[in-house]
Amino acid sequence: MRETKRRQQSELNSGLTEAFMATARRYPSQHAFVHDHRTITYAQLAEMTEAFALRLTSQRDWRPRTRVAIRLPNSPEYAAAFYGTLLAGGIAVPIPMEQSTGWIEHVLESTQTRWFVETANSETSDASLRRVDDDSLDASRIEAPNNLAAIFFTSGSSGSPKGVMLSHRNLLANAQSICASLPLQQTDRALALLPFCHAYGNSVLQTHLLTGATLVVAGSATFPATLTEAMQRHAVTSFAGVPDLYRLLLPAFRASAAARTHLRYTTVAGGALRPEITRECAELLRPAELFVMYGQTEATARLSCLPASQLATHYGSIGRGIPGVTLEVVHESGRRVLPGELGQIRASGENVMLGYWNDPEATSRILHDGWLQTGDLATVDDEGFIYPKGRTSQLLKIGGYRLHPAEIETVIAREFPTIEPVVVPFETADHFTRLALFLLPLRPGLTPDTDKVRSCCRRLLARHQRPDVITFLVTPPLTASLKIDRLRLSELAAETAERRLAGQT
Amino acid sequence: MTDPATITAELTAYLTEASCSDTPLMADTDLLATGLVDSLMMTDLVHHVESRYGVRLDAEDLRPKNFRTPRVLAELVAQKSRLAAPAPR
Repeated sequence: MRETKRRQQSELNSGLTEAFMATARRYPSQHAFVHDHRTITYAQLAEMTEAFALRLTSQRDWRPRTRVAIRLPNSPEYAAAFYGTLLAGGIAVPIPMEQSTGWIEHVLESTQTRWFVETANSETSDASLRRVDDDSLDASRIEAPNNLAAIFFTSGSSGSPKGVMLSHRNLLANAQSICASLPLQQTDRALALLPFCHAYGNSVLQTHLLTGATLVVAGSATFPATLTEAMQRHAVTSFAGVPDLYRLLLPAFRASAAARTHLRYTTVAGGALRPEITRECAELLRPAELFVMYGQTEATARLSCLPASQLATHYGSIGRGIPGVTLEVVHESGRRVLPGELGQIRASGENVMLGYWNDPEATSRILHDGWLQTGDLATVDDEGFIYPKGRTSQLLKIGGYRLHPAEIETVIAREFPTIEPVVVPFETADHFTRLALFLLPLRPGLTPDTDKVRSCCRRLLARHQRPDVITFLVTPPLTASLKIDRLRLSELAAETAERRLAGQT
Repeated sequence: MTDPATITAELTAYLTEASCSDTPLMADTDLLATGLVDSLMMTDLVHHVESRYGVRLDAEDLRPKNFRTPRVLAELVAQKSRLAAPAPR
């Protein structure tokens, strides 16, 4: 009886999980994961997935389209919880490990999620399923769209986190497009460093598990040498990284040729890598190939690709749309821009999200007539290659994480009502983007206690949201139109950071 | 600038400030288990150590064993700094 019920639910949500299970049947003894010192075959991962699905469906009040929050580090357990939730007919809500309690509560409330998967012990990544102790949460209160597979929360252009709704079809279509753009093979052993709970890391997970390749989870970005050692030990053939990761890894790669012995190709996305650093990486990694890609969570993950063979003639470009994606740069009037003219990137394809969770208004601002307005500015050359030129809004990328200054400003303003907080990005001497928080007193004579603000940041903000520089400022620089001059504040922040590094605090 | 005790105190103060820690760090606070040092912090910390103490940390130095606590890191810095200093005549 239960078996029949489950089969019906899985047919209802056919797509991604079935594709994964088909891969598992095809390559049962192939390694799906190499996780520190253990290996998990496809047959084992499929078993873990079915066991997880059964744990969900055997709950008395389990209903299809129930949301399940997954807060696990990259591990076979994460994959089993993700696919298991889908197999049970549920909807996965990945929760980044670095997010604060307040953020998580917001997401659980917004999605009416009562099931939470987490690890009791980060060393073993055991997954334990618990019920959120909050009787006011009720999944039936908000009807989820048919075929919804997962909701990925990300920073929106207004500052509050938005739930990007991805269907089975979205996830499958994008995984297929990515596989068609890269030399990904079933024999690949990819270093899976990017968190699976974010769009880019999730696309690494899906593409490899649908191909029958191996994901290697080992080493830490904090200590690049542990990554190069892991690459050597596990004969890693590929990896995906954000620009900051490449900058961190460059010295370690230079020091260790052995790490690159088996490397065939790498991808960079999730922010702009400066052309000169792209060139340096490409030259260092050779004969391995570097693919520059571009995308966003609203498009499942990836939208464009600059093939390695075209890199040397197109530094600074993100390439062109990947198969199945139409990517255009358009003028405000809606017509396509002429070569060299600035416009906004828009995208269409089966990978474009269903919309933002429970927010039709925000959805209608970004999705029109089947087009996703990315909010990214760009120019196009006469061959159709796209060159990004910043954003239309103040969205930022810190260490690959997307965020909006308002997310931080709102928290500080709430905690310190007599202060106007202004958050700006600045560039460090070695070209990393960091945040600065300027505290402007709303009443004259008031001196904010920067230590209290610092402690508040630690308590209420995730690591990537925490400002590196916190400065009290009586008279802010203003623009000609008498708005706070954020560009000038960024320069001030860079100078302050330089002085601090030089020990002249 | 090669006295490990002074460097330990300075690094502890720097890390307390840079990590926005509520409670001051101690010389033997475990920086890794507490998650105080992550990849974002690491780049700043390395830059700080190199510019403040005039030493060079190579890829080989960036290992968990050298960053376990402020005191352990200070030992490494002191040792490097002694090696970098011109030999006394």
